[in-house]
Amino acid sequence: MSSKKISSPKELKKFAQQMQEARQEYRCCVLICMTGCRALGAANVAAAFREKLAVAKLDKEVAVVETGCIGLCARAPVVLIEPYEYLYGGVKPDDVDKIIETTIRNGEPVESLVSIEDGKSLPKIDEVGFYKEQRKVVLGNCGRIDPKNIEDAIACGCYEAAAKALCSMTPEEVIEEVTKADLRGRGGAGFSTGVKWGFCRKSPGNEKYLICNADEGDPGAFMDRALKEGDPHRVIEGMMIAAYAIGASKGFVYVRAEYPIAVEHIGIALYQARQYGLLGKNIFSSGFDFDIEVRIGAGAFVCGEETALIASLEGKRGMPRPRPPFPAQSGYHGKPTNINNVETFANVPLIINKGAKWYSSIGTKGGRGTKIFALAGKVNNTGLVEVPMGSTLRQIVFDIGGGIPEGGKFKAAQMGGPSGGCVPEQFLDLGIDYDSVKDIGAIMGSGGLIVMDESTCMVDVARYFLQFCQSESCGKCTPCRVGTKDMLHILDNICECKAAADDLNRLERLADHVGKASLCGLGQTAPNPVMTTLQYFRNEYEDHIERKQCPAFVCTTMLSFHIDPERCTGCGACARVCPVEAISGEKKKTHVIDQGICIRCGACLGACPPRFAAVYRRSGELTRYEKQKEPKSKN
Amino acid sequence: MHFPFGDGTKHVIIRKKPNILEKLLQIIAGEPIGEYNPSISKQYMLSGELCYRRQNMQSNKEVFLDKTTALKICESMGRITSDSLIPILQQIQDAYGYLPAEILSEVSKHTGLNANQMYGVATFYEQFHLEPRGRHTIKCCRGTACHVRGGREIISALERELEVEEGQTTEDMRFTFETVACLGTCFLAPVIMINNDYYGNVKPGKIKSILDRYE
Repeated sequence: MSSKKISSPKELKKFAQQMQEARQEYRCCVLICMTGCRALGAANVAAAFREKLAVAKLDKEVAVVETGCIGLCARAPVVLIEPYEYLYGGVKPDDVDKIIETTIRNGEPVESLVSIEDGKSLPKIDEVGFYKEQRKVVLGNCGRIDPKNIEDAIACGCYEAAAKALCSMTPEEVIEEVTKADLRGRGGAGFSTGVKWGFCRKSPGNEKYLICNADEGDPGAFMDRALKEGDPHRVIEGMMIAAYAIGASKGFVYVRAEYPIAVEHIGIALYQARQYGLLGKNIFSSGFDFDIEVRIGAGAFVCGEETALIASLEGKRGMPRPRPPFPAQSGYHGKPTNINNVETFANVPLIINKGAKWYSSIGTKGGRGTKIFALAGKVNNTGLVEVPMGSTLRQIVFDIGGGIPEGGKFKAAQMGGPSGGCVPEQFLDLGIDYDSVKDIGAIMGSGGLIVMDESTCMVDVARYFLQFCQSESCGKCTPCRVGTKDMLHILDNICECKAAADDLNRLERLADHVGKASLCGLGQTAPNPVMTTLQYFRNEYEDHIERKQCPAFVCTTMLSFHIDPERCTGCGACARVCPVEAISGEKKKTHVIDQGICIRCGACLGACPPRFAAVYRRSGELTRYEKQKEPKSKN
Repeated sequence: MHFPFGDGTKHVIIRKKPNILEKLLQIIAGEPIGEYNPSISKQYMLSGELCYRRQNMQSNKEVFLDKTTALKICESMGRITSDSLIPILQQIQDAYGYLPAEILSEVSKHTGLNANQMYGVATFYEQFHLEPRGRHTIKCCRGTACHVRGGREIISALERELEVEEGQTTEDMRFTFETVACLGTCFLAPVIMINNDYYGNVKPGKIKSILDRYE
């Protein structure tokens, strides 16, 4: 369309209205998630829609929009049909004909594609349990608009808050509003955003910088990715307001390279914003200049720490430095710098638009507003979830997440990635906010929420996270570099049956020291997963050490597979799948697993037909009865 | 490329004179690295441009490294500051597939960026590689969700299938296999990513058929 610049709030409003009218020319809208769902063939579905709508001569009245994440990733590829609000999951190109015929022509839902809960089919998105309990505020536009199209974003009210802030508020008023709303950093530590901006505003100097931390490196977190991919303009708008508040004229978005779609969408969004004069010189004729540059991370988890991120921007090894001075005093090239997380910026336009009072009415005292969680792991409805602060884990895991698959039992939820902790079952009804989570030893973190069931070994989980922190440790300070390695060594020993009785105490002591003495957040929080699992699942550690047993059948050194001679019929199914030929036996005769050769992959367990169920696994010592049945080893 | 610092074996002070640095690099790059030995021979003229030649031990063919691409990248950056270092390295890696020592020393000469710092940065970040890479890169996620859903079995199945370990390249230069902390697509767990294609809900039995799609 035209490259007409928008130079006042009035023009923005007019343009938004025009765009809304242009949208209404279509009587129906097919929204297809083209970010996460792309991996499961959403592109083919979109192509099929375009082709078949053109054949049916409906392409003038039905729009096909490629959107960001709609949320219910478990049923990818997901398609949403407006204005009927029908949500279809697992859509294949072959289903398109049916959707056009039933829904687009007649307005009826396609029964085979809708969600089914308790035997009832729920075609409308608001009826689905996954969405019913959610409150989509920050993610309001995500999955509803085309992220590659600024006109769509403006039609949905994007940049209104920026216009309001720039033209009718002073920077101090903006900071006060954000402080009053009690917005806390969504990146992990939960520091007050308004206060942080205030520090930077007050720092002397004319040259200030704003950085958007989009280096979402926590394993199990994908909220920021969804925001960047699905609604990049909201993040840019939040950055504009923040830059105005602190007095910066240059901003950076530091995105990790593992998110190519996010990099692409932000690049497009920035280009379009510049075309419309929403970035650049004299924005909205307010005299305020601001532009944003995208920097792509080079793959270092520690660069999520603010001082390390700044070092990385400056072209150095991404290592943190001691604070103070804080970045607000001396950051990027020694200039006052403010760093916030993607989700924090995405919250800002809401506060400016609707006011601090409205915003702080959502949530609890320990955290205002909503929080986006990336729900994954052993849960039915994996996906992106936005709930008010203070929601309980039970609501998130069971009401929204639909519970544990295959009738499993909830064991723990891992919150906050490698810096967080494991929250056990007894806290399922605890309202989650910054303070309450901290009290039980975890942290809110960036919002990764991994559900674990009985088949997860907590020692192994702790070891996994520690391994992550250890390999991502930049090596600058000794407690983190040496301490995590030492802790990992102990955990390795525990998992491999080599631990001594005193090792748990040593582990605890080390964890305490590493947490207290490390330089940056990575080292300070690295022991958290170990500490929380030790606190809530100490019995599992003791089982590993004393009884040489892994209750969840995960630690392979303690695991052994056996064939029950009374049940084995000699069908040979197990021997065929064994990758190392450890199973021997003649046809129709009892088979035997050679424990010396067995690599404990578990293939035989899966291959044994359920009607025989002759293969069984044991962790630790066999019972006396089982030992008797076990054939004598040839060696 | 083995620079004389970092691994603690040698300590050589590099002065700013570029010819000394280049010489050093040549000597150092001649050292055996793992199983193959990339040796730099003399400078060659190829299509009127100065090129470096090095032996590719896997295929035993000579590979010509054309420095013009690298110089073009540097020029496209505009004014070079320390900030430009990571973007330059990223683009060079995109163009060459890895960071060849000879090209880096050319870039250092051309831009005035410190080769020492360049090596420091290249070895710090996981994304940068100083050795040639396979035609396809397999990234196997070892994120939490994948781990819980059996990602470890996928890793060992891939290692068995490719007959290499994590971080290595197959002998025929077809695949480089690495693991990453998290691909951010946990709802597809366990996930592997080959080049830019995601494969979700992967089972060990499916791996061979997935790999067969890549030549």
